[in-house]
Parts: sequence; structure tokens; C-alpha cells
Amino acid sequence: MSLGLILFLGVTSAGVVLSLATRRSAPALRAIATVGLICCALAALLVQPGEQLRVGEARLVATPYLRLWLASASLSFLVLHLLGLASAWQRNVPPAMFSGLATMAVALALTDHGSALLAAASGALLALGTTIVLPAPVAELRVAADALRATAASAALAVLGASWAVAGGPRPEPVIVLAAYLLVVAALVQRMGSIPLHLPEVRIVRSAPMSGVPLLVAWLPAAFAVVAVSWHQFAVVPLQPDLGAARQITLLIGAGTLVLAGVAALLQEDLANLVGYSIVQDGALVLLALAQSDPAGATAIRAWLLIFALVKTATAGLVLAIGALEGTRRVPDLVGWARRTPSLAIALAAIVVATYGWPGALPFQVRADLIGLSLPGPAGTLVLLCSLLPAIAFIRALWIGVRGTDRWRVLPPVAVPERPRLPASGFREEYEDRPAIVRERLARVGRVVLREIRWLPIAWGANRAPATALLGLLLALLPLALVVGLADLRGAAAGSPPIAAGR
Amino acid sequence: MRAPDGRAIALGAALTLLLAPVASGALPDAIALAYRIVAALLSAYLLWMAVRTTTPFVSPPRLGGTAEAAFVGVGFVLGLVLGYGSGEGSAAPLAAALATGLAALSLLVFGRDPLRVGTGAILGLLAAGLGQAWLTGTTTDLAQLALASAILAAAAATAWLTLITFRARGALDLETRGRELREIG
Repeated sequence: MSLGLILFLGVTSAGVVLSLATRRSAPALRAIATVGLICCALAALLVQPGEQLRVGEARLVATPYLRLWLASASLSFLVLHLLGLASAWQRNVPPAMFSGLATMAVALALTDHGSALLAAASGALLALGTTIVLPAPVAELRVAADALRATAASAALAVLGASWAVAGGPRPEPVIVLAAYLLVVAALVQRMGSIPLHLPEVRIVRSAPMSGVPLLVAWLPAAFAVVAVSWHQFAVVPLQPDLGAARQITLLIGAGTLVLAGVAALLQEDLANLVGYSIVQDGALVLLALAQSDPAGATAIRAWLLIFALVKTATAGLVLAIGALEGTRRVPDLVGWARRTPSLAIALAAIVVATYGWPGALPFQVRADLIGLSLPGPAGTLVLLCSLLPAIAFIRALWIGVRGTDRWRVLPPVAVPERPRLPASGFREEYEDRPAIVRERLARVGRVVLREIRWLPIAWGANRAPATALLGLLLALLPLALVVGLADLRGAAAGSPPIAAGR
Repeated sequence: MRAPDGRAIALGAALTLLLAPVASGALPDAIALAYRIVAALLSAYLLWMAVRTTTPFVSPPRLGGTAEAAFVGVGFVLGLVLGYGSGEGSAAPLAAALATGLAALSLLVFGRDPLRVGTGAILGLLAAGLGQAWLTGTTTDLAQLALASAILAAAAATAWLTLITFRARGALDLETRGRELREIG
């Protein structure tokens, strides 16, 4: 039986249809998106590992990794959607989120790699609808067109490469494997925005509305990369091909991107650009996984890609919240932001910890393993250090937020009235008739809670800053929960991908 | 591809999409074939709708229409020669894949408006599907389904981008100066 997977696909499909049908009515679309994403998160939890669904000659196979991926994605999209409602909401995002969830589920569950790659690309093509808000200058339209070019080209290259390796039978010619490997690497360089093809990725982060960015540049490319890495693990590595120079080129692009994007991130003054270069840098770890044939590398990158997608969503959410609350995303202009919204400062700290970890933690270990397996020796240490450079840029943004003059400091201090004290006799009575007092206090608390709940919609309409800050914090805590081990990500990533079941 | 008229581009893309299953050698099963035809018609409708509600005037081909058409013709002939030379399976899928792939490359690299870029994206995906059919010698129902869905998604993205470009600019040309792009990032 495969009820969980069918239910998830049904809920996401219904979400796409309903959100497109109600696109002209903002209140209805908001309600459908909120309820739909809650249903998606619940349906993802109902997916049982081992479920199978036959589609022609291939199958959709549910794995623990798929379940964790879908649950994390649904929850993350839900919080991002609520954050968008509190700050800057865009009506094209909910349909793209639902279609992205559906295509990710299919891509990560399919046993046929060519079709899985096409499914991931389809989601990315549909998500392009989130890139532009009118009125848009011609440069932003051009950036969206470049994203369309890049997505289609990478999908075509990957499908061709993945088919080529299969075409040669059980023992294809080395030159065929080499050509297939190079095509898939080229597709990944394009899809993950590695240097020298990084500009479309960085520009889309800068120009597109932040609420749609994570889907477009983190989740769907990460799902694409998971399929490509599984293809490499099960179609290329068992053949033990001599990839020679092709592997060196992959390594060079991956290591070069880690170093150069790290340096570029340090030089950015706009938070969106900083996010863009950190996405480019962290995405390059996929190339390092493809440059070595150790199964540990494939497991490590599968674990990393889920953390990558969650962390980048949290970072985009943080930039969205800071932009909405401070009115700017330029780091030098953000003096005192962390003092005005401490929850967002905690969120930034959580993001840095979840991205880079600490020695022994999953993110740090994955980064060190992937770099160490591909580049042993001092070169590897240098690349590892450079891969941590964006952390300095994030800490600098935090430091600017903590120090300096607060823009509200010029206001005179507010006089706080002294708290009234109970007379001694009253205290004694209270002590003697404790149950009655407790009942009365509980009733008072209940009245306060009811009053606050009644005031919640009014407070939401009057001032959304607290909700924005809290949702930004919640979004940052999701990857941290995964890093500290609230779910068994290591075990899920170590399991066999569906492609292995299809072979 | 040569046409400076968006309607001709949409019509050409529709014909290519409808004829592609025939060119891929072995015809897929009835259900998969029906899905491909429906997806092709829907994709063509999306492109047609985008042209009809905006403008049929698109930028002319940058290399010149004759030069681009010649590339495609050479690709087709080369595919036929290589296909017959290799002696493996039919040469038609390889010829169709090379011709479509070169057309896609030209449109993706030199396209200056969303309609041409999007049509290039659609043809690129189609070329990959045809290449896959030639390489594997067979075509599964799932591969047909995935390819048709990806093409439909590309057509939807193209139609949306065409509409939004026309609303923002009143024309479909996306020519930009380097400085404008550098300001973005």
C-alpha cells in the first residue's frame, strides 16, 4: 500500500489547483495556502518508508530520507508563507510551493533517474513564476529569462548524460561514461550556480521577492542534486571508470567556487548578495561529492543537501524580516538592528551554527569529510577555511546590529510607575484560603488569555513586527533542530535511494 | 525560428511537439502517446495565448534567419549520416535530436525576447528526450510522461514571462545594457 505518498501528492495537487483558482482573491488564497501547507506537513508525516507506487515500468518508492525531506520542506514553506503574510506576501508563491513539493516528492521517489531529473526541472520551471513582481525593470525580466535558460539547459544536459551511461549496457565504453559524467557535471555547475556560471543565481536572489527565492535556488536545485548524486553513486561508481582529467576539472570548479564565492561573500554590503554568494558556495560541495567515488561522500552530501535547503530558507526568511522591519538590506545601514529585534539576532546566530556547525556536528563533519576526501593535505585545509568565510560576513552583520547608537536612544526614558504592593494582612488571607485564590488566579489568567486571543487579529492588523521577528526565529530554529539531532538525518541519508531499488 | 512573428513561432513549436513522438523511432503506448499529444496541444495553446494577448512582433533572429535555419538543416543531415553510419537503430531520432538541439541552442544563446528563449527551452527539453530515445533505443511510458510534463512546465513559464514582459514594457524585447545587470548583482 502507498496511501501516504498518494495522499501527499493528492494534497499538493489540490493545493496547486485551488491556489491557481483563487489567485485573484487574496484572502481566499492566503487561507488555502495556510491550510494546504499544514495538510502537506501532516501528509508528509503519514508517508511510510517502504511504500511503493507503480508507474509503468518504474516505481515511486518512499524512503526515510524522502519522508524527512517532505516534512522539513512543508514545515519550512508553511513558516515562510506565514512570514510572508506578516511582511511581504506574493500571490505567485503558494502555487509554486505546492507544485515544488509535488515535483520534489516525485523526483526523490522515482526509481528512474532520467524522469526524476525531469520532474525536479519541471518544479523549477513552474517556480519561475515567483521571480517577478510588477512593475519590473527590464534587467529583472532579463534575469528571469536567464533563469529559464539555465533551468532548461541543465535539465537537458542531465537527462542526456544520465541516459548515455545507461545506453552502453551493463559495461559501457569508458569514453561513454566519461561523456555522461561530464554532461551531468555541466548540468550541476549550471543548476547549483557554481563559478563561472554563478551570476544568474546571484542575480535572481537579489532581484526576486525573498519569499520565493528558497524554492527556486535552494530546494529544487538540491532535489536535482540528490538525484544526480544518486545516479553517480549507482550508475558511474560501480563501473570504476578512469575519469582522470574530468574528475580534476570537477574538483577544480568545486574547490574554486568554495574559495572565490567565500571571498566574494565577504565583500558584499547587501544582505541579499551575501545570501546569494553563500548559496553559490555551499552548492559547490555537490561537485566535490561527484569528484570522488567513496560511498561516504554520497551519504554526506545527501545529509548536507537537506540542511542546505533548510538553512538557505531560514537565511532568506531572515533577510525578508530584516528588510521589512528596517526598511533596508544594506549591512552598513543596519546599525542597531539586533538590539531592536533580538529574536532575529538569535535567528542569525542559529543560522550560522546550523550552516557551519562545530567540530563533530553534522554540518562541520560533512563539509570536512567532503573536502578531505577530495582534497587531502594543506590544500584541503585551505579550502575548508575559505568555505567558512561567509560566517565572518554574517557575524559582521550581527556585530553591526549589536553595536552602535540605537536610533531610538535619543528618546527620553519612559517613567515606569512603581508596582503596587499587597498589604501584609491581605497576604495572610491569601495564604490561608489558597485553593480559592488559585481558582481565582486561574480564572484571571484565562480571562487574560481570552482577551489576548480576541485582540490577536487586531494586533496582527496594527503591528506585524513582533510576528515577523518571531517567525524569522522559528524558521531559523528548524535547521538547528535537525543539526542537533531531533530527527535521524544521518540514518535517513545513509539509506538506499529509490534509484538503487530500480536497478 | 526564422519568423519575426510570434504566431509563427508558436505554430512551429506546436508542429515540432506533435511530430516529435513519430520522430523518436518506436511509438509509445496509446496512453503515453495521448498524454504527449494533449501536453503538446496545451503547450502550444499557452504559447498562442501569450502571443495573442500581447503582440506578435518579436525581435528578429540575431544571426539572421537563413543562417540559423541552415544550422538546423546541417544538424539534421549530420544526424542522418551519423545514424546510418553507426548502424544502431533508426537514424531518425538522432537526426531529429541534433536538428532540434541546434535550434534550441540558437534560440537559447541568441534569443532576445522571452518567446524565443522559452521556445528554445522547450526545444532543448525535446531534443534531450529525442536523444534519450536514440541512446537507449526504447522509450518508456514514464519517460514520455516526464518529458511531456517538463515541456508543459516550460511552456507555462514562457507564457507567463511573455505576458509579464509585455505588461512591464509594452514590448517583448529584453535587450539590456551591462550596467543595468551589474546593478542587480
